[in-house]
Amino acid sequence: MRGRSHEPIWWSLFGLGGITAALFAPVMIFVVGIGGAVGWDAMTEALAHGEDGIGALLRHTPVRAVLGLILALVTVHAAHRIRHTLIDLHVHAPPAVLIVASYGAAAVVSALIAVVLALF
Amino acid sequence: MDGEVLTQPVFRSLGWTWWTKRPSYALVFLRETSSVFIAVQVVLVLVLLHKAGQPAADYQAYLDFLWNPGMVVFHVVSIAFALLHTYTWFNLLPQTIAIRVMGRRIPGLLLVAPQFGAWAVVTGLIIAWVWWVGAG
Repeated sequence: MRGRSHEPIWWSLFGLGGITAALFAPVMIFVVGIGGAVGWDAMTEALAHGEDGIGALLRHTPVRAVLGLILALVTVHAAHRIRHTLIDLHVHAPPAVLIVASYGAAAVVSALIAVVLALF
Repeated sequence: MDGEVLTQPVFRSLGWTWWTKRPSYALVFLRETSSVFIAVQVVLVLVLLHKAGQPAADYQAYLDFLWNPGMVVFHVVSIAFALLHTYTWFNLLPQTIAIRVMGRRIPGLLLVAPQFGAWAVVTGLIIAWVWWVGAG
């Protein structure tokens, strides 16, 4: 028999990340990758370098804090789902390896997000 | 409960090509695949935030990469996967909770529709805010 599962902890973070991704991922991809690229001038200006562009978007600390939280939750969600998908695809790796690789990668990305936003 | 928790034993018995067996399984596979595209998009945003603090030329070079036609195709595919995640996630709620009013279970639509409403408001507000910053 296995010991007590840690799955409920991951699942609640996964759930929180799932609703966060559902609400924010499409608009994030649109604003960062599509709006300015397809020639929407105001979007291009908002993403431009400097204080009138992306600096204006990220000027306020609460904005950066909320953005960091959103990105971190979405990262944990994606890591959890990728781990389960690999298991469902019968990838033969010890469970501990998949756990360390997926949640470890999520932790590294989340830490980098926190550092980049704190230093901005 | 979430699909992967329930469906895993089925997928285990069918072998790794389970997602080719039925259209509904293929949809589950596409839904799970959304996480890969969303993860890549998070990393692209992380790099953008990092480059935003670098000299203007470095930042512009990254924007040029991010907005080249090939990458825009990738973003469009990513947004399709993200919307599939949104759609399937909101539709999970009636399967995970049952709210009873006067002894009767309320219809799933009453649980799902407000989520799409909230999604539309959040999406609209963020686009309006970015547009306002860019136009100002």
